[in-house]
Amino acid sequence: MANLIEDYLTTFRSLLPVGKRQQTRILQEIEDHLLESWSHEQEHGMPPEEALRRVLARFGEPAEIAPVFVEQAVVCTRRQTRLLLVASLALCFLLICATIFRYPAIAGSFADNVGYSCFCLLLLCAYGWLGLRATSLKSTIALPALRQEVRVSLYSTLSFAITYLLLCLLESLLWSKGVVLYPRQNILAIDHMLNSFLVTVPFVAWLIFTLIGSSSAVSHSRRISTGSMVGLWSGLTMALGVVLISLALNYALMGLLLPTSWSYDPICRSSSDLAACELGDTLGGSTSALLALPLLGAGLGTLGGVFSRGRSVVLS
Amino acid sequence: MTGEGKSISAQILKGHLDLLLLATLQASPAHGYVIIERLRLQSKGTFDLPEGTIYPALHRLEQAGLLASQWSEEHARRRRIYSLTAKGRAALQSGTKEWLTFAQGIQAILFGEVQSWPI
Repeated sequence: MANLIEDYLTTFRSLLPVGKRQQTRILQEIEDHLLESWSHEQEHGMPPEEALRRVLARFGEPAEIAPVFVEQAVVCTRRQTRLLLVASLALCFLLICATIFRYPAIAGSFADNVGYSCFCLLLLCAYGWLGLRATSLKSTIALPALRQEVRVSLYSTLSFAITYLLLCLLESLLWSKGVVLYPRQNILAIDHMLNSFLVTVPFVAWLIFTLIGSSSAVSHSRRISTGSMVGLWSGLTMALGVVLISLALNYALMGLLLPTSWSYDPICRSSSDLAACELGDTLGGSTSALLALPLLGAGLGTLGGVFSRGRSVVLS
Repeated sequence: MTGEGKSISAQILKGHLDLLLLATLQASPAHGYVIIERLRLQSKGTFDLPEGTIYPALHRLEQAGLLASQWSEEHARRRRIYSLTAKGRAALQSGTKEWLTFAQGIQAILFGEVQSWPI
């Protein structure tokens, strides 16, 4: 008898491509309702088998009810994604402006600072427009693709945050302890190696996540444009993550970062010069990421989409 | 009720489902099954929707902040109990007023008189 309920819930589950927690909640609620309703019918003297059939019929077809839950999940995910995007863009711009105007030596003259800020604002507005358009309610991107976008972005940004933090700590350790034991030239070489290795790791992770995410999204939607959108979104989030995380960590760990290779730089003499050098270096790198990653992501996503489409054609 | 009458009733009900769900929770918090029973009993069987359609509506109201919910263990069974939030109570009040104005307008056109209803 209970198999009928299990079958009903299994069908329901297969039609609910929402988050695991939400799916569990919905299915538990439905199961509780069906069991309660079933026992209620039996208390009124109905035979168990007939009672259960009646209860299931009264609840409705999974194919009619599940899409309503999915539609709601899409609206919710879109709203959260848009909020997060706008907040990140605003924070990004504020952080860049705060840095550039606090350390004017980074860009040079006041006019250069204003020009640089305007360029960043323009870039961020363009990405904001693209991102909001991609996640608008009118957008035809389905929930699995949207979830894939968010997942790829989170994994990529997280991998960057972890490796960048690690890089800052290792650099600090190297220049505080290592410089006592080894010649400065060797430490500088190790520093460069560390930098390139720990910047390459999240970048390669991002490439892989974007390729896998976009091809998986295209396998659901059957449209290559979905892959491009996943890639663009992934690149945009990663770029915002790079700017926010690197600048925030620079400010937070300034005390650890200043006595590293910068303290041996002939241009950076005073402590405010040192800070300007360190922050300027990070700002330059992160602005390049802001410029390149979304475009690169869109290209990678398209590539992943083409690969996925090609594979599905071969398999079929 | 005829088939035609039933479908019109379902359409009208769909437009007012949110208000009805808020009203059923006014007395006390309840889980989905009880909410559906209250709807059926209080309307004397007039509102007999497919039961599954109530849950997405409850989730939507919760997302909008009009309802709050939490798990509760009863007789070794987990169930989600819904209750009205302050925002939900305010929405219920304003929704009731809107409905009364609307219903009185319809009544005046159909029957040429306006009967005062209790709020």
